[in-house]
This record gives sequence, C-alpha cells and structure tokens, in this order.
Amino acid sequence: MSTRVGGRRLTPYLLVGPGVAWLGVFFLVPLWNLFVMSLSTKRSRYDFDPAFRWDWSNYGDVFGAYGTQLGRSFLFAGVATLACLVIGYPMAYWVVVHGGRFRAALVGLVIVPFFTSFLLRTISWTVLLADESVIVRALRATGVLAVLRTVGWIDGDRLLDTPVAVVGGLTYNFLPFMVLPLYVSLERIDLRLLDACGDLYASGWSAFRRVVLPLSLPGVFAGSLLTFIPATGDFVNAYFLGGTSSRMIGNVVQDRFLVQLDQPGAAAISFLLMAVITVAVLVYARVLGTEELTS
Amino acid sequence: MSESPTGNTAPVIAFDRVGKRFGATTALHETSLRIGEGEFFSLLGPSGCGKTTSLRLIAGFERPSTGRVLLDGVDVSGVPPYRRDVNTVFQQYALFPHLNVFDNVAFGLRSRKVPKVEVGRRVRELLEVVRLPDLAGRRPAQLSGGQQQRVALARALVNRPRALLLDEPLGALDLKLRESMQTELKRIQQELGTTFVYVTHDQAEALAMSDRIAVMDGGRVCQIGSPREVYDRPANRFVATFIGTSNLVATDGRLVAVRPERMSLQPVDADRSTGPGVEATVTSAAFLGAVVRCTCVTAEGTELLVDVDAAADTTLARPGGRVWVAWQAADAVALPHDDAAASAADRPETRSALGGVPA
Repeated sequence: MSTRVGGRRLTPYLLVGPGVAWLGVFFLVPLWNLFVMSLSTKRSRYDFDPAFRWDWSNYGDVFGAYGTQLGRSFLFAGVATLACLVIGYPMAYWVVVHGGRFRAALVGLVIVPFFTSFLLRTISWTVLLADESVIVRALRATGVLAVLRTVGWIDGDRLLDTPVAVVGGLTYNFLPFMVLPLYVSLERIDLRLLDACGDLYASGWSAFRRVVLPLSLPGVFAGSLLTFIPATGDFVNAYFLGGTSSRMIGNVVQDRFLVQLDQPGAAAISFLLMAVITVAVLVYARVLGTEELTS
Repeated sequence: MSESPTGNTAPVIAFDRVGKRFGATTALHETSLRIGEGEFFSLLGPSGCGKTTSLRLIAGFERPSTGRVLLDGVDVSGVPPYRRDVNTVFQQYALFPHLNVFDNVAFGLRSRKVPKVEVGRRVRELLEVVRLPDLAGRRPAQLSGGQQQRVALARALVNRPRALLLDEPLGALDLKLRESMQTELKRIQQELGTTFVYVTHDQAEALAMSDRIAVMDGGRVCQIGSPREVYDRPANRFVATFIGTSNLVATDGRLVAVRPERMSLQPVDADRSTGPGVEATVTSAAFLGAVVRCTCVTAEGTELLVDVDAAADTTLARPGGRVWVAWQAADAVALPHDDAAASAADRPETRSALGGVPA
C-alpha cells in the first residue's frame, strides 16, 4: 500500500522529468553557452575557443550596424503573419463549418507539405519565381508586377531577389502553423451559438464579429506567435528568394557565424533578437488579453 | 372540444397547413394550429415527434416545405430568424461564453441599436424579473445550471418578443430544480403576459404549466386541448397512454380508455348491473403513499391498473384475490381503432380540436 502511495507521489515527477531533462541539456545549457559566447573575445580570426572576459562590446553596435536588417525581419515576419491570417482564417473557418465528416482529412491536407523538406520546398520557389517562369510571365502580362513596382515593393521587372518573394516564401512555409491552431479554436465553438446570434438579430458579419472572432482569439494568438517568431529569425527564405536589399537578421547571424567566423558577434545578435522578440510577444499578449487565453 | 382562449382575436402564431420534409423523411405532416395572445402553449411528445421542428419553424431556423407560418397574421415563412419578432431559449441555453451576464442579456438590444441608457435599464429590469440582479458581472461558466437557465430567459425576454419559444429548457436540470423552475417560468409568464411556446417530452411538466397542449406523435398533432381535456378525453390510444396511465379495455367491440384512479375494486359477487366492469385477479399491490396501485389480470390476460385510495378500505387490494373491477360509463373514453389512430389528426372530430376556425 505504501509503495503504491509512494509511486503515485512520484508519478508527476516521472511525467515531467524527461521534458525537463531534455530542455535542460539541449536548451538551457546551449543558451548559457550562447550567453557566455556573446561576452567572449576572439584572439584571432581562427580562434575557435574565444575567451570569456565580460566583453560587452559585442553588443555595442548591433542596433547601429544591423538595425535595418532587424527592422526588416520584423516587417517581413509581420506581413507574412498577417498574410497567413488572412489566408488561413477563412480556410479554417470553412473546414469547421462545411467540412462535415471530411474535417479531419481536410485539416490533414494542410500538413501534407511537411512531408517534403523545408529546404527543398523553398528552393523550388526559386523555380516558380524565376524571371521567365509561367507565374512571373503571367504576373508581368497582367500588370501585377507594374503595380508592385509602383507601390515600391519591387524595383526591377522580376520577383526573385525581392522582398515580395521573401514574404511570399515565409507565408507559404509558415501557413500550416497558423491554420492548425485556428482550426482547433474554431472547432471548439458551439455552432448553436450561431443560432442564438440569429435569434438575437445578429446575422452574418455581426455574428462573426461579436461571437466567432472573440471566441477564436486564442487560436489567432497562438497561430500568429507560431508564425511570427520563427519567421522573424528565419534566414532560408531570404537566402534563396531575397536579394541584398531583403536580407533579414537571420542572414546576418548566419553570415557572422559561418562566413566571418565571428561567433561572439553572432551570439550577441542572437541574444538581442531573443530579447526583442520576448518583449514584442509580451506586449502582444497584453494587448490581446490573457484572460481570453486561459478561459 | 377546446376553443382557443383568444376567442375571435387574431392568433399570435398560426400554422396554416405547414409541413416539413428533410429529404425523404417527413418531420412534420401538414399541420394547422393557432396560438393565442398570452397563452402558455406546449408541444408535447416523444423524441422525433416533430415538436422541435415545429418550434424551429416558428423561430425561422427552418423553412416550411408546404404551407405558411403566420406571426400576427403576417406570413413569415421566408423571413430569417433575425428579422422575426420571437426569441428562443435554447436547450443547452447557448449562452455566449466570452460575455458576462449583462452583455449576454444586452446582446439582442445592441443588435437592434437600442440606446445605451435604455439597454442598461431594460437589462437590469429583466435581471430583476429572473431574480439575478447581483450576478451581472459573472461569466456563464461561473453560474449554476439554474442560473444559466435564468440568464437564457432574460436574454430572450429582454427583447419583448411577441412570443417566447422554449426548447426543453428544463431538460438539463435535476428534478428538484426542475420543479422550482416550473413555478418560476409560470410566474414570469404571468408577470410579463408573454406568449410562451414550450417544447417538452415530459407530460407532467406540460400538464402543470400549460394553458393548452398539442400532443404530437410521428410528425402529427394528435390532439390539442387544455391539460384537463387531453387527460380526461384523450383523442386516441397514443394520447391516452402517453399522458398519464390508461387502461385500454375492449368492450362491446369498442376500445375504451379508463384511468386507474377511475376504476374501483369491488367484491367478486357485487351487483354488476350498476355499470361496466370486468372480473379479474389481483396479482400485485404497491403502496405509493396516497394510493395503493393494484395490478389485476382478466381472464383474457389483459392487465389493468387500479388505484385504491390508501386511506379507505384496502382489504380487496391483496394479491391473489378475485375481484370485480368496475368503472362509470362516463369515465370511459372511446378510442378510434388502431389503424385510425395514426391519422387521427386528419379526422373531422379531431380537426375541430385544432383551435376551431381555419386561418
């Protein structure tokens, strides 16, 4: 009897133990190493074991030197998140309301792209957006490129190597991370509430704005975080689809680390990026209201 | 049988030969009925009898396949719910979980752009009526089932509808609460004078609260009448057995229904010329408090239930005894034969029960 009680007392720790151990070894320790690295100095370019010496200078001119790329990362990730929301919300809503018994299958389709590598999918976009591809020729013929040029999103007669291509790639790659949480939160809404709306003189748009949208906010919140955070730090889309004028902070980190071999500098930028994202997320959570998320 | 209590005034709600099909299934056969101003009208029947479909037709969630739905004499068959002057109390209440009690109740008024001051006044007034004035700030999840029920009532009634539609509103409550809410609903209905259309499968509930009851079965209205009428004068076998308990006895080639409390046990050698009766053997007797309910079996094997006043002489109510089960001819209700029972609603004598004057 006593062993059973003892076993029960241990159960919570056994359940949470593996996760804590995993995060400790593969997240907290590297994070600490990253922090130490960001305060270290290299004795020479090929010094692969920089010495820790509270060297705050690595942080010194990150904002000055890479403010543009940082701002661009937030802008691109923000626009891509918005685009995912605009594309994904109607999708998730449609599946919930009209999916019937095919709901699960339809949601499954959303994750089908994951069966192919992220890198391959992004590289294949370079083919889709190549200067003489069907898509670009069609956009050129219909005047869409001219419009994009007029509003200043592209400057030549091509899509590749422009911010539009990078945002397009980000939107494409992160769309499932938006759709899935949206679907889950919309699916939880009791459809009889729509009957109640109709009964209380709120039709279509009014019912959506006053009942469906507020009840799906947890999904909007989770989806936009799952999209925005990785998109901000992403460098693959900008690397393959963007040009020199669409480099993101992820590219800066990659370049600093792998090309210039400036590990302390790359670590400092990464750390600042994390701090800025954390602050942005906290502000976002405050604005959207945490009460909605817990209820 | 029963005249609509409205007399000659126009009914608030009328079905003019309304029918509803879903694909190949007929949920409601052609039905005509009239519900009067201030009436507490119940649609009573087992699940699948068409009562909820009828309610949804009035609310506008369904459109009739045939016939017309009239609100205050105006054909509203094609009018969507949000433009109908009726409100619904839903089965599971369907309160908005993200809004507090005040905002839930105010929802309909705000849809109609009622000025803010008036919204506040009317919401507070209704919360007084349903006796929840102090809970305006609570979320639905923080309320008990009975309180949620009251909020749902207030949310519908605050719009001052021409009729309030209630879909099994007490189904989710436990027995004690259900009984007190019955009294409460009746009080509110009388206080506001609103027409209530009440859907239920619980015959005791319908008998206790209604001015009139439409008993439904298989997508048809079998009978419309006051609780007393449908109990004392059931139109067919279904009504006789669904509402309360009836003994079905075949005498002289006729099928009659007699209530257990209208039958009596007499000594087997009693004078048989005073009225109808049948010889039987008592097989069991159950003491139910006010009465002793005896199960008797006739020579043909028909089971009869007879209630004997527990305060009176119960010597005959003993298992094994031979008795003469007697009743008054006036207490026996002749029923149409089985094949006719199904289409009872179409028969002339029951059609007159549908409120009389055709719309």
